[in-house]
Amino acid sequence: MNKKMVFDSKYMFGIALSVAQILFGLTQNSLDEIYSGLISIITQPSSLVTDYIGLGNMGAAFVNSGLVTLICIFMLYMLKQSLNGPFIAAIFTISGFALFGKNLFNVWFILLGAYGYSRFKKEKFNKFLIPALFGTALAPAVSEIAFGNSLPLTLSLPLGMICGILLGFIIPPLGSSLINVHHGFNLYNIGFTAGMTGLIFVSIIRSFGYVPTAQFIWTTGNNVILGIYVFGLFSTILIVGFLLNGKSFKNYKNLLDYSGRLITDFIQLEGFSVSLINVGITGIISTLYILMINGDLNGPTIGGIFTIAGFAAFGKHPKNILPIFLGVFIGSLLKIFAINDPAIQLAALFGTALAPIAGEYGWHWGVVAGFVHSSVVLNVGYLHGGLNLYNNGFAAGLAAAVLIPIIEMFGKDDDDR
Amino acid sequence: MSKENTKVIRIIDEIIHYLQFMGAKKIDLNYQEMVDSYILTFKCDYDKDKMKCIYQMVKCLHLERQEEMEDTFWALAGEHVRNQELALVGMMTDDAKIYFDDDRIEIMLERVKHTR
Repeated sequence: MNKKMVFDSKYMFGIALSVAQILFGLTQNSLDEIYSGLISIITQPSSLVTDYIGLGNMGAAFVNSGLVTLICIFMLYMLKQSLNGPFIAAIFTISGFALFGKNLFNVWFILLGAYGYSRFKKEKFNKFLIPALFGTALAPAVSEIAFGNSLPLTLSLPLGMICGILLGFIIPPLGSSLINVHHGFNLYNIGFTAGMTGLIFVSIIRSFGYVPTAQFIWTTGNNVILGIYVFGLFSTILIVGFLLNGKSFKNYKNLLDYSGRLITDFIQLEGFSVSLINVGITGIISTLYILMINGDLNGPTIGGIFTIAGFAAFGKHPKNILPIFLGVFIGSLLKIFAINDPAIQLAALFGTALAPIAGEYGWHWGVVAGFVHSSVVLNVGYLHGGLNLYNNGFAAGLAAAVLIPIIEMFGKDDDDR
Repeated sequence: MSKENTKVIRIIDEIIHYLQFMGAKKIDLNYQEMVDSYILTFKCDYDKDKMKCIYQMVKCLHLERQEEMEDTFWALAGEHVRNQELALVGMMTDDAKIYFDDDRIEIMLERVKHTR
């Protein structure tokens, strides 16, 4: 691989995002409050759904997000990794999930495990960075074992660390093996992998009589302040992309023509500036969706919005995410849940993992995918005990595995592509 | 079969699939395993109506080799019946030369063997 010096505008972008998170956090609480909030976040279980704004406070949640992201970016820089589409997606995903599950304590053991795998295989760690970064979905397993039981800390803490390292060790080979289950139509492949891994892990610990902590911390009432911040952030990204793209939307239409199926790296195919435009637009659309359904802007939903925005560099765009939103919306009209139930807000945001179905087979199949996904996701959380943060990625993988052969049955001939 | 050989087969599968889609009726494949690389050459006819697809192919196959992408996603290459993963093939190869005229296409791909 032609390794060039990698510090470029994409790194500056990642750093700017992290700094924005930290600065916003610092404006929300005093340093003492942020410190005590961070201690709460780090020393308690983080399984789904643990909104760090509720567990700690808003300042601590955003500072945690910014710092975790910044350290990950530093790690990528030290490894001389150029930031293409999946890495921008990973940076946004980590930043978003560091508002509800990933923290300054629990993510490193997963990364250490993946590093151990690279040593075991005698290969460069760079080769496994994508599954390693996304594999931090299982970070709550570390917090759960370390802090979610009655064992003495001297025993539970190392046990949690070891579990994290073991989980990180097995994620890379599983990730590449399970990808064919959903044919690349689930953008959160490691979410699916982590779900399967979490299922096995939780089955084992349950068989020893251990019951994972049930968590539901969901904050409300912060739509104004968080709305201003999130809109400001994505508007800025959109404007920067527009300016870098020669003050135009040139080539943006090309980007909208991609199905988005794995792997569609918009940064490499259409350029960084066009990708930034897409990040800004999809971020704004996703935020508007939450506000229009009278939903809640909080750690988990902002995590969902950030994940969509990140994947706007790696497969998602307005044309393929809107049918998913519509499918979840139609589902809420016909099914027993409301469109703004917390789980359904998350189902819509993270259900966009199935956006490539809309991109490849047409918007109507995207609507079907959203409709099906919003039911599946409500029934799979138990399987991994909430220890896989990418619960929707797990559900989306299952939905895609079943839907794709069915859609193919009705599909066009090859020559119609 | 080694993982390395499987990857090369997936690359061949993906290219053949794409050439079929472009209307090729006769495809000549030359496979060479060298000491440190694989050289794959494809020669075929094509349907002139699919000329636009050549430009998409050139764009995808000229992407830089990216081992970090390859190791996570290689299994998608040559896997699906309708979709293309030419970009992935681009990321799994070190050099691509594509020549075409009104009737024929020739593609030469080089993949340097596994590096640690």
